[in-house]
Amino acid sequence: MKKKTIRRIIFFVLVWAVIIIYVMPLFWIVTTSFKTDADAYALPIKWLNFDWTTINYINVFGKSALIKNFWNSVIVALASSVIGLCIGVPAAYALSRFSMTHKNGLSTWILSTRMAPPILCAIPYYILSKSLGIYDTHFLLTVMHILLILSWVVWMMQSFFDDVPIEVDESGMLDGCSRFQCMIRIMMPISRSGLTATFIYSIILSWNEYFFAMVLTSVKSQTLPASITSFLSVYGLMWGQMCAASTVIMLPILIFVFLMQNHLVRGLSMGAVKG
Amino acid sequence: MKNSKKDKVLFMAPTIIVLLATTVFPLAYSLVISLFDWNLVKPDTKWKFVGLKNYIETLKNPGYLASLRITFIYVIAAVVLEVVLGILLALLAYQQVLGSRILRTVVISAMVISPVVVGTAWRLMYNPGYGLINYFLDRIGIGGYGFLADAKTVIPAILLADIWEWTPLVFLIVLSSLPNVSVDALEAAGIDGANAFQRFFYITLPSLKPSILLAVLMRTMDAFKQYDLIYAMTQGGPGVASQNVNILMYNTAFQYFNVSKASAMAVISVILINMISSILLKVTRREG
Repeated sequence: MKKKTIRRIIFFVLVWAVIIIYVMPLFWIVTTSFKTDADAYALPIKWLNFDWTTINYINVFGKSALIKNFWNSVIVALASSVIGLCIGVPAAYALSRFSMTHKNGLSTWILSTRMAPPILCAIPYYILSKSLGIYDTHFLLTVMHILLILSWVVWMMQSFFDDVPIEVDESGMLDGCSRFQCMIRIMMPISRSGLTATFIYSIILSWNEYFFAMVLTSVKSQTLPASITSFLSVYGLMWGQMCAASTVIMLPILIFVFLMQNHLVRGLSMGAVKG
Repeated sequence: MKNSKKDKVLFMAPTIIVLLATTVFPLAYSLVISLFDWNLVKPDTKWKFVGLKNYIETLKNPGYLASLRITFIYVIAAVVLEVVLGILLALLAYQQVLGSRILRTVVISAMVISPVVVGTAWRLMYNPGYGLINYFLDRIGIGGYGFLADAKTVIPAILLADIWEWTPLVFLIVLSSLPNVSVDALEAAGIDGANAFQRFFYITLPSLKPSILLAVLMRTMDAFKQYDLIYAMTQGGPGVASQNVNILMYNTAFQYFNVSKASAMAVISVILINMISSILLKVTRREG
């Protein structure tokens, strides 16, 4: 009995050690964003006993274009997620329900588009967008984010549709539904939690995306992650402001995750978890 | 069930068209311009056909080969460490102790935060003056070391951040298949006198194999594409000490505007990723 107690204590300590390792960098970023420069560099470290200030937020939102970047992020994330779902959900439904030759090949090909290094798309679209005059527009970045999102949408939604017994659409079709009505009126309401998870995961992917945002936008439609690196070069080591911008990027996503984690784990683990 | 051809086309076509436009078209475009000598800042170079010159020069370029070496070291180290730690972490979280639920939530947050923010956070942690890591090292008498500024330590230092961010993926995948491990088999082995290590290696590990292979496949592909985290932490520096192929390609295309050479590198990357993933898929199919 005693040996078991010791083992449980060791496990308990290990669990909390890992939790601390994971919380620490985030705690550090958030607290630094509320510190004055003097407190940020203070030694010994002021964990919580510093003068809380919002000066960094006032600076990043007031003096820089961050508020614009924020709205760009919102617009691109919403547009690419909505369009990505509209395009991807029917394909997921077809892959789940239709009998098709080459179904596995098609499914693998859709997933394999994820393997391509982003620069492979970035160069052609950079050149094309410059000559077509659509460089640095919401439209261009939205299209690139749809690429990023689409294969996930198909993969995730197919796994959610696969969970619904096939008899459900069979009875719907006996009642006179077309395939399309079946999908919209029966399958999508049944899989609405999966649909929500897919939607939120799409938003996260677009919200965090950095490479296309950096290459294909400059001033007008730059999103939040790309703006962080401009902080690097313009302000040098203004940690307080960089942490404030980082907190703005990270916080909405963390809130989503805390509220939705059971739905999200399936997307995060490539469908390995039946959440 | 009726499966009209019209339905199939209507349901699948949008996805296929978008994916063709965003993957097959760029690949074809890159293949074509990689055969020319096009530099965006020199418009007259646009249609100068040079055949395979860009490929030959790339494969002979010591800078490219060095970045390829960094990429491979990075991928292998990241995948091996993340898989081992992910399995251990999943086994730990599977023990129901106070905090295991919190552990899962906290660990998941690491992988949904933008890699640029993760990079920024770790850059701050590594800061030699006031970063937390050096603060703790200082307490035990080592501190004040610029890990990201030293060519010898920069890759391990970035790897630590990568491990922090992506071990959770392996963790989630493995955790989800732990309930499939047969409890009966474990108990029977225990009665027969197998110790904890034997039980793990002969019973638990074999039943986790499919999910571990999935994790290896995904992490390999993503670690090969790694760009954001390294760029946010070091921009490839000091010098070129952490410049993997992706950062080199970015610099070639968008700092020097040599789009032809960068496209040749991108095509080589596509070939490499395809080779690696088809080997991994073959292993997965054989084992699975």
